[in-house]
Amino acid sequence: MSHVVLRGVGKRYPNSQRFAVRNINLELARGEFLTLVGPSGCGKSTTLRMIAGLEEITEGDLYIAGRRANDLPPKDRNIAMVFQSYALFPHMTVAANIVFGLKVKGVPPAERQRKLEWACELLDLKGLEHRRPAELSGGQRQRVALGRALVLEPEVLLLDEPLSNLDAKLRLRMRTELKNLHRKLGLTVIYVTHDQAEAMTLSDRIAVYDNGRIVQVGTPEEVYYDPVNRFVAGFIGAPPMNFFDGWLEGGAFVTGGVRVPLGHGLQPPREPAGAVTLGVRPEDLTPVYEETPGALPGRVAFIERLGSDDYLVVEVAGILAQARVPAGTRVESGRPVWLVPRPGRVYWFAGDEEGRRLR
Amino acid sequence: MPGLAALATGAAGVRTGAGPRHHLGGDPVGRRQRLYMWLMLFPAFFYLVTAFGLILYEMVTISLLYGPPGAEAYPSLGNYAEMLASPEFWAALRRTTVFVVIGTPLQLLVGLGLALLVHREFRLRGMVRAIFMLPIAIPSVVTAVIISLLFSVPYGHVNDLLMGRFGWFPRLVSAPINWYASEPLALGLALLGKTWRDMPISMLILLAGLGSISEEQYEAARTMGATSWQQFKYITVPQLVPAMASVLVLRSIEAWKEFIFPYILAPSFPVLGTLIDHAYHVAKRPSYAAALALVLVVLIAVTTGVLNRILRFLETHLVKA
Amino acid sequence: MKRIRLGWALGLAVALFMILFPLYILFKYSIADRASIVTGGRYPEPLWPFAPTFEMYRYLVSRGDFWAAGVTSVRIALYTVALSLTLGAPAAYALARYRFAGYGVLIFTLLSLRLFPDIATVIPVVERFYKPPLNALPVEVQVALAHTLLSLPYVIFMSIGVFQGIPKDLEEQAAILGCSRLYTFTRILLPVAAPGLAAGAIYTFLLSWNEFIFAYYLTFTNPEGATLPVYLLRVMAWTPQKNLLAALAVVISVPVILFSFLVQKYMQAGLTAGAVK
Ligand SMILES: Nc1ncnc2c1ncn2[C@@H]1O[C@H](COP(=O)(O)OP(=O)(O)OP(=O)(O)O)[C@@H](O)[C@H]1O
Ligand SMILES: [Mg+2]
Repeated sequence: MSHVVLRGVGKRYPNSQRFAVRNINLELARGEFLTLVGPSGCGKSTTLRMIAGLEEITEGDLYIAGRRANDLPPKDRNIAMVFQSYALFPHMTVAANIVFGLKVKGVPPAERQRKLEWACELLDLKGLEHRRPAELSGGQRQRVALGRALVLEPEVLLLDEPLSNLDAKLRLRMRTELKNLHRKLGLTVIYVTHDQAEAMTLSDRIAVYDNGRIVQVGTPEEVYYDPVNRFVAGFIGAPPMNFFDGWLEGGAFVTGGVRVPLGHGLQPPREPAGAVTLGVRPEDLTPVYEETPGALPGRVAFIERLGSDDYLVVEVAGILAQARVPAGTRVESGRPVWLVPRPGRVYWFAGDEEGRRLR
Repeated sequence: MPGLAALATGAAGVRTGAGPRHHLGGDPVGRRQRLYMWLMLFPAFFYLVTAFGLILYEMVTISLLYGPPGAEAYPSLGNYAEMLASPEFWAALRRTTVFVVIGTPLQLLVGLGLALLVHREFRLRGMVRAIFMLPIAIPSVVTAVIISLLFSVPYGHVNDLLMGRFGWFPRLVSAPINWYASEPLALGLALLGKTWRDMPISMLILLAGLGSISEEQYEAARTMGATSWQQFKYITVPQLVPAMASVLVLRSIEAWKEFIFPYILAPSFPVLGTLIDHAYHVAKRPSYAAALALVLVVLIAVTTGVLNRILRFLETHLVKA
Repeated sequence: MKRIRLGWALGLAVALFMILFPLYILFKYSIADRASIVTGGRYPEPLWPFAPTFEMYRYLVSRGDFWAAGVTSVRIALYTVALSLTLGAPAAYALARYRFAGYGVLIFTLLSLRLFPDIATVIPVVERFYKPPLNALPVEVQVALAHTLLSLPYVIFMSIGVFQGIPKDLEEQAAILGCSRLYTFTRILLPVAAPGLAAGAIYTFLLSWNEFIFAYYLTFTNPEGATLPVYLLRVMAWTPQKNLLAALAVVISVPVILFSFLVQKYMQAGLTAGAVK
C-alpha cells in the first residue's frame, strides 16, 4: 500500500457553508516528493493541515503508513511540519528548539544530543546552538525549523510554503538544499507552494488545485506538456501560455475577427469542436516576417528583456501574445509579424467556463 | 483604575513575527477543542459569576430583612420604605448626583488637557508622561491625606495663603476657612481629590484616541491652509468623540461609586457611598446598608444605560453631520 | 505657531506643578520638625521645614504594627496576583483564540461587573465572610479573594491582547511535536506571553496594594489584618499629627511610585500597539 493515501477527503470549516476542499484523492509512495500548487485560497494549506491533524477531516479517509489516521491526534501520526512563519519558540535556544520534540517524546538526553549534532551538521547550523531565534537570519531560522522537524525522523514531512518568507536569492539556495536533503534522507514529503517554478524543480509529482479541487496530478513533465484543462495550462509555466479565444470554422481558426487558416503546426483537435481556446506556450511560437499558413498574424508591440531570454510581445487580434526569441533580438515595434506554432505543441480547450482540453 | 476601554485597546502585546494564518478575532471552534476551551474559561468565569451572583442574591435577601436584630421580618420592604421617607437618603442622592454631574465633565476636560499636552513629540516626553501617571499610582487614601494636609484647619498652606500670611500673596480672608464645615467646600475637596487622582485614566483613553488619528490627516489639512484651531476643531474633536464618550461613561460610573474621598474629606455631608458605610458600621444595620447598596447598583446600571444611549445617539448624529 | 508653543509650555508647567507640588508637600511634611507644623498662627507653615528630620520614619520603623501592616499588604497583593493570573491567563487565552457563541455574553459580563460599586458589593461579601465556612479562612486570604474579584476582569482584558499577539503556528507546531495542550500552554504559551502578562501582574499588585474598601471592611473587627492604607486611616483617626501621617503616606506610596514607572513602559508599548491596529 502507498505510504500516504487520501480518499475522497473534504473539509468544511465549522463557520462556513461550503467545502473549502472536496474530493481530494492522492496516493504517495514512500520517499516521494509531492507538491500541492494552486492560486491563493484554493485549499492547499487546508489539505496539508488535515494530513497534519490540525484540522478535522469532514469527510473521506486518510491513511498514513497503512494506518487510518483520521482520528489520530497530530503527535501520533508520525509526521513533522514546517510552517511558513517557522513557528520557532522564541524563548528557547536553537538547540532547545531542535530537540524539543524529542524531549516531549521522552527521548533520553544522550540520544537527543546525538540527534542535535546530526541536525546541526546536516543543516550547517554549527555554532548557532545557543542563539535564540531572534538572533538568526531568515535562512538560519528556516533551517532550524527544518532541523526541528527532521530529528523526529517522521514518516512524512509536511512543508507549508516554507520558502516564501525568504528573499529571492536565498529561496533559490534553500530550494537546492531541500532537494538534496530529500535525496539524501529519502523522506516522503508533501510540499505546499503557490510558486509553480518551485513545484516544477522540486517535485516528483505535482497536484494542481483549483478552487478546492485537485484538477490534475502528474509529474512536472505531465502537467507541463499535457495539461488537462485551460486552468492547469495557464497556471503552470512562466511566462504563462498564450491563449486565443475563438472558434473553428471551415478549415480556419477565427479569433478576434482574424481568420487563421489551419495548417503546418496549427492542427485542429480530433474531437469535433466549435467555440475553442487555442493555447501555445511562448517558447513554442516562432516569429517570422512573411505571411505563413498556420501562423498567427500580428504586429510587434515591444520586447521584454529578461537577460537570458527575450520575449517578443506581439499584438494578435487584440490581445498581447509572447514569443520567446534569442537574447539580443532587435525588431522595431509596429512591424507585421507571423507567429508559427511548433508542431505538436498546440493545445485546444473547450471555449466554456471549464476549459476542458480537446484532443 | 484604568478604564476598560483603554485596556481593551491598549493592552501590551508581545509580537513574534505573526504568521499569515493568524486571525485576530479568534477561530471557529471544532468539536474537539470545545471542551478544552470551556475548561480554560471555567475557573475565572465560575469564580466571577458565582461571586457576583451570590453578591447580588445576598444584597437582595439581606435588604429584605427588617426590624430589630433577632426579630427581623422577612421578606419586608421596610428598609426601602424607611429609605424613601428619610431626608438623609434624599440629601445623599442629591449630593451624589451633583458629584457625578460636575465631576464627570471635569474629569473629561482635565484628561483632555493632559492628553493634548503630552500627545506631541518633545524631549523628555516619556518622563513627563510617567509623571502624569503618578497620581493613579498612589493610594486614594494617601491622596486624601495630602488634601487634608494642604487644607488643614485652622493652619494649613491654603489657609495661610488666603490669609496673607505668606506676604507675597494678598490677604483674601480674615479668618481661617473651615473647609469641612461647608457642604460645597467639603464636597469640592472630595471632588478635587478624585479628579486629581484619576486624571491619568482619562488621559490614557484620550491619548489612545489621539494616537489613532493619523498624522497625514493633519498634514493634508495644513496643505489646505487650516489653522491649528481649525485642525483641532475639524479633525481632532470629531474623531475623538468615541474616546470622549468612553471617558464620560467610565468616569460617571466611577463618580457614582465614589466612597473614599467623601468619606475622609466630607464626613459631615454623606454621599450614597458614605451613607452605606454609616448604616453598616455606625448604625450597625447591615440590612439597611444592603438596601442602600442595591439602590446604588440599580441607579448606576440605569444611568449608565441611559448615558450610553444618549452618547451613541449623539455620536451617530454629530459625527455624520 | 509661537503663541501655541508658549501656551503649550505654560500648560505643561501648570500641569507638572499641579501634580508634583502636592507630592512635594507630602514629602515636606514627612520630614517636618515640630516647629514647622505647630505654628499657633504666628507665622505661616514653611515650604521647607526649619529643621528637617527623619524622626517620624524612625518612629514608624520602630513600631511593630506598622511592619505587620506592611507584611500583610505585601502578602495580600502577592496572593491576589497569583490568584488573578492563575484564573485569568487561561480564560484570556480561550477568549483570544476561539470565537464561539456566548463570546459576547462573557465579555459583557466582564464589563458589567464594573458597574457594581465596591462600597455596595462589600456589604454582602463581608456578611458572607463573617459566617461559616468562609470565616475559617485567614483574613489575608479573604481580602485576596475579594481583591481578585476586582482585578480579574482587568487581568483578562489585558491578557487577551497578549495572547492574540502570539501566532497560532507556535501551538500547532507544539501539537505536532507531541505536546499535550496543557504542556503547550505552560511551556510554550506562558513563557512567550510572560512579558505581556507582567503588565497585568503589576497592575494587579498595585490595585491590591492601594485598595481600601475591602481591606477596611474585612479587617474592621480584626486590627491585626490591617493593610497599609487601612493602617494609615487608623493612624489618622488616632492622631492628627501631620508629620507622622505624611511619613506613613510616603512609605506606602514609594513602592508603588517605583512600580508605576515599570508599568509606564508597558502602558506606552500598549498604547502604540493599540494605535497601530
Ligand atoms: N479557519 C478557517 N475558517 C474558515 N475558512 C477557512 C479557514 N481557513 C481557511 N479557510 C478557507 O478555506 C479555503 C482554503 O484555504 P487555504 O488556507 O487552504 O488556502 P491556500 O491554498 O493555502 O491559500 P494560500 O496560498 O493563500 O495559503 C479559503 O477559501 C479560506 O478562506
Ligand atoms: Mg496556505
